[in-house]
Amino acid sequence: MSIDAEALREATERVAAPIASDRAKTESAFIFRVGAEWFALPTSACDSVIDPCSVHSVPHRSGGLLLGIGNVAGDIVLVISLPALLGIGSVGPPDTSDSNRMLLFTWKRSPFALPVNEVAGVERFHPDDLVPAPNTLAGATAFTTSLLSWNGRMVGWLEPDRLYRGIVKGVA
Amino acid sequence: MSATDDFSNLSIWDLFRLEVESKTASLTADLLSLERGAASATLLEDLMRAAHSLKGAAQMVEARPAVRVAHAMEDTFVSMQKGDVLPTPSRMDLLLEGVDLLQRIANTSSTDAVALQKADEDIDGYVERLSRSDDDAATPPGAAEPTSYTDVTPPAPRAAAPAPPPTPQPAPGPAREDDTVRVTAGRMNRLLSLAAESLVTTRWLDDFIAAGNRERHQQREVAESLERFRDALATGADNASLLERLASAQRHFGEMRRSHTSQAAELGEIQRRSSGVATRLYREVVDLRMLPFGEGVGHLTRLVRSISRQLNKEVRLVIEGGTTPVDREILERLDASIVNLIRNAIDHGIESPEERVRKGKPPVGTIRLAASHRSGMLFIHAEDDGRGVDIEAVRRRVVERRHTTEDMAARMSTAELMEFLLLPGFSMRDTVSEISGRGVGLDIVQTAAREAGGKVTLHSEPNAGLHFVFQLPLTLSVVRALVFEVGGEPYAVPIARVARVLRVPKQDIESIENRQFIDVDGEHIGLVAAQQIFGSGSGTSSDEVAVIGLGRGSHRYGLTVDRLMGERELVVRALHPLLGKVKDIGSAALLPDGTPLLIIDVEDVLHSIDHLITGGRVEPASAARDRTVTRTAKRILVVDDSFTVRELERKLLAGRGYDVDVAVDGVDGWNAVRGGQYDLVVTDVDMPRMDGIELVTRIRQDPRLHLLPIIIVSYKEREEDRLRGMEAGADRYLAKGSYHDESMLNAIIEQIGAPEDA
Repeated sequence: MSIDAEALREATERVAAPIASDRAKTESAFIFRVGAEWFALPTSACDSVIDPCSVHSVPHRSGGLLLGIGNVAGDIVLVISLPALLGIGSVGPPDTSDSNRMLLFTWKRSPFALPVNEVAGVERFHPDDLVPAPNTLAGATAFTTSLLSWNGRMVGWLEPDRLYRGIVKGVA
Repeated sequence: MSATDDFSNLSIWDLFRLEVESKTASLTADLLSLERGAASATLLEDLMRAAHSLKGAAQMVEARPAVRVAHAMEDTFVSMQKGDVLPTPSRMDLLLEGVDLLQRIANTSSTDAVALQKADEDIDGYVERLSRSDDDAATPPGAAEPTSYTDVTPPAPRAAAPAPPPTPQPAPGPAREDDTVRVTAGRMNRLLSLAAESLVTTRWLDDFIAAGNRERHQQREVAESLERFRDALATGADNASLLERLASAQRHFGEMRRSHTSQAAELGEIQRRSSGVATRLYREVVDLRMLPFGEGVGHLTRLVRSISRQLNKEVRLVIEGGTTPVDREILERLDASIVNLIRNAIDHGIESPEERVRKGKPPVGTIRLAASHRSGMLFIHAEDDGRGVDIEAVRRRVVERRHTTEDMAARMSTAELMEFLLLPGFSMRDTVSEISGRGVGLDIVQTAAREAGGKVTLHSEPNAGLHFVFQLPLTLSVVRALVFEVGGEPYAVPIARVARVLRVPKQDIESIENRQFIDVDGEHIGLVAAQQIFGSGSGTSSDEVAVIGLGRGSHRYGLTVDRLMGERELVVRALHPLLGKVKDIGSAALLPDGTPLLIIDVEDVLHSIDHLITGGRVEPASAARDRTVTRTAKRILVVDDSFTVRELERKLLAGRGYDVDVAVDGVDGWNAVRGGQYDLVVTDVDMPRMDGIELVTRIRQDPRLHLLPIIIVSYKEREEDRLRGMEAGADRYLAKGSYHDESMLNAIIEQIGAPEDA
């Protein structure tokens, strides 16, 4: 049994090549799309990406921020509308028709399901890759504190603690 | 916002007493945790708030001694927060003594001016000791005669040995998120082995999947054999070779069938094993929620002793079935009711020793608490051997209150008459003096029993005492429920609360003044669409309407739903704590296919229906879309965490003809204000969960509600407090006490006019 000489050479080169960056990519985040905008949420705050579950509305409460309750692996979790929370798109019942995934956002031991339109995957980067968000976003209610450059575009970095507080304030 | 808030037949002093009762339990528990060295920041905050709120309630009823005690305690907690003083053992003794003092003051009659005067003088000593108490100047508990006040009114017999400083035990509670539950090593091992066994059983399924793969292979062989047989047939092969190919196919089929049979047997075995393990695992875990009855009601012995001493009666508490396991949460929900029943029994039921001897009874009265399991239910008996209820007086009262005609009343059985005692607002207090107070709060007992998923019945023999029987589910973690669909989403109602279920053809629904009703056995039951209650979208339409009958007495309604989906055992799950109390909804559960559903809160729903009806807002059940709002009176929401204040304000405003709802704190108020249509909000400032300032701010920020008139009524009367309230957006800022001089009413009329103005 022989190994193709060309393939062997390529593999050797790949392994021997110096790592492109000398900075350790210590941070990681899920990159996802809500409507037309891209966001990043640190993996430390995001348990997993799940298939959309059926959502049961909660009388007198659903409609704005709270979409309802859903069953995620046997746990009953609150399903939160990111467009409503972040103020993206039209006000009113969010369009979930093309949301094909949910992010399980877990903060302070509370899980929340966040329907998103698309999840691009997990991206690793160095803390210095985060640049401060423009001051138009830096208001007290903005959830985006920094921007991350990804695939040639700027992605909004969501600050978990602010996101959590926004949810708590909105559903109580 | 629920039916339990109907305290309309209690005097303000009764309300104050009930409030002191409910707050002192948590005060004591918090003080004890503080002493044990629990994290103090939030505890101190809670303690301060509780003392502050008791001070407010005491001001309301003009109980000066209680105001001063609560004030001194509040000051101490504030100093502790600042770190100026430490929670030393002697200071904790004094604070616990303060709790007892408050209880004693509340248990004194409000009209006993002499006692209150004397108490006020005694408080001087207490306040002084609390303000200077320190470890170096420690006053041993009891040395300064802390119980002197009890000697004044009513004169209590001194026990031969001095009573130890009272240390009320915290009531048993359901296991909360961070509570710890004691588990024996034996149970731990059983749980571990059951968990391991369930894991092993699950692994067994791996083999089954491999067997499934083998079977697929065998199927392919059968199919190939048949294929070859067909080919041979098509090419005109001879009989011998055809037969041989057929036999081969049969052989393969036989193998497949044998392996299938053995797999089916294996699958059956796996199913039996795993459901057995799951059931045992479930039982063990449910047992963790259980508490021996005796442990749960143990703290009542001290209560009986102290109340009977105060009232100069001799009563002993007998607890039977002390080892019966009882769901902690059920016991927690019933605790306040049982305390109330005991208090009533000692106060009004059991006679003085002399009277008892005259009647030929033993001088010492007995209260019996017994728990037992019978036919899958938990029975709790609470029984005294006092004077019982005068059934003829009840009969007269029923007629007086126009609950029924004289003829009907004359024909009613004792059991039927006893039912009236459990109705809200049915009080015996002003006609039947010898059982005064018997009717007080009995509807609350009924409500508590219902909330725990059961019911309560009441029996009495003249001169043989009163006997309450609670019939309850063994656990609150599983409920048998009727599942139905509204607006395409599943909901459930506990079977115990369903009066009846009907499918009614559309043509049988009658309508008067656009209100729909059906005729059930000659009785007209009003219909309300569940869609309208839950505010959900319209569902399917068919020729039949499914109706769920709820409620009792004059509050019987039919809830129309889109579809009935049958009865199921549901494992009850709490809604996310962030949601707080959701109106009309009790809890959540999952259907076997994993779909989430909501279990309705029947009391809340009945309350909502009452509101719809009194507001004239019921929509035809089959066309619940056209929302026309016609209201009779202006609606006011009262938000206050003290129910003394809440009830006082409610009575005052309802007395003037306003339609009044109440909410117990900012969060409750915020929910109510978003759900109901109010003309005005009256709110307090200091409240748990969300304070009044935050509530006002939220209302002002809401695009739909921002014009709603808001009046703040608070004890905080300093200029900066007033400024804070006005800056948040309140229209008026009044001091509590403004009820006395009508300035609150004037402010309300200024804002929204008289109750009936268009």
